[in-house]
Amino acid sequence: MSKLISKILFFLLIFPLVLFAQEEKLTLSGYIKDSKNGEGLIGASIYVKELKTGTSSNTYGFYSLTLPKGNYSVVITSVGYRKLTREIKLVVNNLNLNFEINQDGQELAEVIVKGKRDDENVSAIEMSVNKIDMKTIKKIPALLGEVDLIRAIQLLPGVSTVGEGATGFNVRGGAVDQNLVLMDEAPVYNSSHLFGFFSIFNPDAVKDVKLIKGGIPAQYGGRASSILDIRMKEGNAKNLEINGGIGLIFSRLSIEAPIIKDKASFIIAGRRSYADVLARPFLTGNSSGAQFNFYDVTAKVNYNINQNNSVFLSGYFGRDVFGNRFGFNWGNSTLSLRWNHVFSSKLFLNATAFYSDYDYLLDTDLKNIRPNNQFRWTSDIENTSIKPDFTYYISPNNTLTFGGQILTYGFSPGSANASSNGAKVTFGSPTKDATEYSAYVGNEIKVSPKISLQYGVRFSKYDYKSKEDIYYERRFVGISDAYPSGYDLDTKLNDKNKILQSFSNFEPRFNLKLETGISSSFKASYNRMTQYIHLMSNTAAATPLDVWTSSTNNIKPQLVDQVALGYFKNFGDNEYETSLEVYYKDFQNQIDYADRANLFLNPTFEKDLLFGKGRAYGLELYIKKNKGKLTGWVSYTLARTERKIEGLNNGDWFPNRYDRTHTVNVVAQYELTKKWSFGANFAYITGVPYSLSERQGYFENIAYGITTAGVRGNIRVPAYNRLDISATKKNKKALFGKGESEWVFSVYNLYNRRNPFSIYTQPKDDNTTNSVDAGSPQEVEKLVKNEAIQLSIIGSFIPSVTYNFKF
Amino acid sequence: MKISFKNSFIILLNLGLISLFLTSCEDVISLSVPKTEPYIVVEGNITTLAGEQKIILTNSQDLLTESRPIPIKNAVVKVTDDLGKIFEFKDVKNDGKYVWIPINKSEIMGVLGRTYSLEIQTEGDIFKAVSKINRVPKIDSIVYRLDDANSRQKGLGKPDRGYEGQFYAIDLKGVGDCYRVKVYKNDTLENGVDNIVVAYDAINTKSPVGDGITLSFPLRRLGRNELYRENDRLKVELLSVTEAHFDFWTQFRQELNNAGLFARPSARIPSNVINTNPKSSKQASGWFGTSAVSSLEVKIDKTKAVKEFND
Repeated sequence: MSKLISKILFFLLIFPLVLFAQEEKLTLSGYIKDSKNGEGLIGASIYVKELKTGTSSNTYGFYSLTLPKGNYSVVITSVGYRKLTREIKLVVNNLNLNFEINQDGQELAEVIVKGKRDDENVSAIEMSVNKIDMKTIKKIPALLGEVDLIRAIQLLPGVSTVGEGATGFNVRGGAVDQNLVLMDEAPVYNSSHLFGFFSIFNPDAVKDVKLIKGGIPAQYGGRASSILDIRMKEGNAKNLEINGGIGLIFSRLSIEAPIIKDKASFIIAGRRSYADVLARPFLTGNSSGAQFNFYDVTAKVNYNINQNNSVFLSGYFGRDVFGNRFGFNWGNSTLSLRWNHVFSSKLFLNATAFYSDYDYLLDTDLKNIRPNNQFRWTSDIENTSIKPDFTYYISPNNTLTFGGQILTYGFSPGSANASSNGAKVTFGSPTKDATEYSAYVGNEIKVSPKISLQYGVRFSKYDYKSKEDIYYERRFVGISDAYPSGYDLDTKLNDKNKILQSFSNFEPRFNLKLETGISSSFKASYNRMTQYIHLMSNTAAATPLDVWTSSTNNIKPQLVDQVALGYFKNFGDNEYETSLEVYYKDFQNQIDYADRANLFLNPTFEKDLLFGKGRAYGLELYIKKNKGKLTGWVSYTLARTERKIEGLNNGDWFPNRYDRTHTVNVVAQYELTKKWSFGANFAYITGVPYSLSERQGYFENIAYGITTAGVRGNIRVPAYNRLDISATKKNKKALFGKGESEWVFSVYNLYNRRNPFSIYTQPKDDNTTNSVDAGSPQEVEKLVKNEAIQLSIIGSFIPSVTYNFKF
Repeated sequence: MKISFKNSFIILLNLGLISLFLTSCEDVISLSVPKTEPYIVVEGNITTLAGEQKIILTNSQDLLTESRPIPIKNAVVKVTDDLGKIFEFKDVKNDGKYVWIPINKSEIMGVLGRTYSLEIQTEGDIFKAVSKINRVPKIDSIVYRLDDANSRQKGLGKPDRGYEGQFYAIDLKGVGDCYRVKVYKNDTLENGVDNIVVAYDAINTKSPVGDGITLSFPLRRLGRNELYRENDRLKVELLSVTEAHFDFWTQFRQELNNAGLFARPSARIPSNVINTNPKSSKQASGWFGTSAVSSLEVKIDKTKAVKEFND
């Protein structure tokens, strides 16, 4: 088997080389950068007039063009930048040229990093990809004025959440754990501060955001539904730059500066919420000293050693802290070291080594007042990885990518120390280790001027080890109140040094583009994604305390196959971009939970799991206006996401808790003058399904719901709709008469709607139940009745004001 | 610690929201619910205490029905112990409350270690349930201290300053003893949603780690919703329950508190009452339990109050 695999991989690697072995040519290569701050530009276009061919710069700003010998005039363009034309002589040797292009000058405050060619959505091979530049994100009216990347991508077609304040996001019917959120190549496990109200990414430190929902290239793997690729700024290589802001929730400050001009620079950006500082005067007695804050620090240094070597070191550390005597804290930390190396002008390497960690702590006695009666619980998931990625620019029409990754996982699902009256105990779930090996090769070729193909395959292997002397195996015993899942566990002896379970998978990837006119194209894609880790979450919204678990001998890896078709057309000289996409996804090995599943600190939680399959399908319509005073987009998604799990809903299909039939988003931004601009967004979203008891009984005079085992999605929460607006006033000068500044005024939930998050029943706090029924001859006992409650997470409109500055 | 941390989590969420000047809100709504065929709801607990034993039978209703539960009358209810002794339960007041009345004061129905089988015949259905009386440890002490009422303990007619207590009992050696705690103030049971307290060994979640130690905080807490006054009589009862009965109470409480951002899908609350005809439209809910009981009573005396609890 492995011989066959290596043969296939070898063939895939060699095939494009053989096909395009050609007569003598020379290569023009180098970096495209912003002239103002030296940041590498992602996806800038470089076009050779004479040959009517070109390419675009990669994620690191590098480009490579192999051309027949000759004199050429090349044009470098990027949206938001002035066009640059250069005459070059490519006659004797390969040429190494860096281009620096100027920003369009129209904009005052923000660095425009918009790595897009005008018609990229039509002409590029990728589909189901959304890029929003930071400039646009910054203009979207935001909750409490806090610019938020994750909330912004929720306005794109195919992206949804279970509701306001929910952690994470759902892409094309996938669960929140199926998104690979990468921050400078390191995965981030929880992308939210304060549950889901704010995202952990500091907008001042982010350079580029790309969401891939389908047609995922072979270089990405490890999650089943989407890739959110976030690139941090490198830091201004020319001048000292200070950005900051003062809002109602956060204060932000970032400093970037050259260390050696044009050679080395850094950025350090920090944010902290100060709600607790503001609230302190109002907290008395037991709650004085209560903490609730969240903060994050993002930092990066880079050094261009020479034309062929650059290194980058970036890190993130963020934390949410809640509590008084009893409290929680949680957060991510990542560290990544990258090396960009140009082997020859045609072969580019990005090698990354990273560390990522997500952990939380829950403590009943943060201040250690009562050491004899406390409870302290920690949980953690840890990654370390090395990852070389090669790009071989064979010709302008043929690019080969290949690489691999070794990724180690350390799972500490939960460990608790408890003491009662001095007696101490330690318990929880044992730690687990795993290693994921992967290798991929992908090839993008322009078969003809109208047809492009991208195909590839990723191979992944996952080895799981238990760090305990025993392991468990599921055995079917029949469903009963004692065994709600129908399974019990058998205990077996384990050899800690041996691999307990191994999985391997091929993940084919395929994209096709067919140009159907000057500004229209048809695209098709297929991808298979494998995911070896799972977030155990049985609540309406994921909690920060949910536990990531490995695939084991009892839990199989998630497999998702997706087919997507799309039609892309631009109008009015690319003023309007439109796309219509349909997709179908098939999910295997989806996890669900039996009634009364206990997922915390429970070494035998595998007993409580249920398994099944899923399917999701939908249609996404996207109309975007790129130019003019009025810009923005309208997106509409018609979708369904369902699962079929043995033991739930009588074994029939039922909607996932993030199933949203209709989603409409309208985002509009209007630039009235250089001084004033306005933004608005509107959302209409079908409510999520929910499960509710069918009957009501009384026990000890308390009303309770009688539920058939495994009921799912028997009611739906009413639809959600909301309008937000904002106004931005730019000032020519900031503090002390220097730099630039702006005021941002916004109102979230303008028409003050109480949007429902969920519906449930709860005991009624009602004294009238005390009254004796008239004429009743018998003693009447007090009853605790039931009532139906509709919960709105945000119950009012929220005005806010933010001041941003830049030196 | 499952439940206590969950509630605290919600409190903290609200604190967090308030700190952001946000308010979440709950609106009472009317909901159209499906019509259902009634289930039988059984509520019974046989104890080792002297006196009457009671089993209550009602019909379930549609969710959110306002009217009082409908008693099931004219049922034949009997309990047989594992020695074959039959105890007949009669609906004396014709209100669905079936009572066994001892012939003389010394006759006690529940005996430690015995197993009891319930049989109910009503409208053509026969329901059965079985439960054993497990062991229970003694309560060693009840201590109390003077304190100010916290937000939970405050309210109309409740003292702002008073006594808060803890009781101490050591779980019996051996994993899997389950208990329920009942607290009486001046002979009135503190009932309601917040007063459902059950223990698995010495902790509130199923895990072997609580074996053989002192019942942990907050299980041993007294006066959670109202402080006690001087001269109040405070009685704590510790009742043994079966592990399945512990599951029932745990889930019962979980379902009543299942709300908000982190609500779980509604789940079935276990029941040990089974219709012998599984095809009948009338299935069962509720619990037939059996308990050994130990108890301790004190009268609040300010001279005996402690300064601090021993923790």
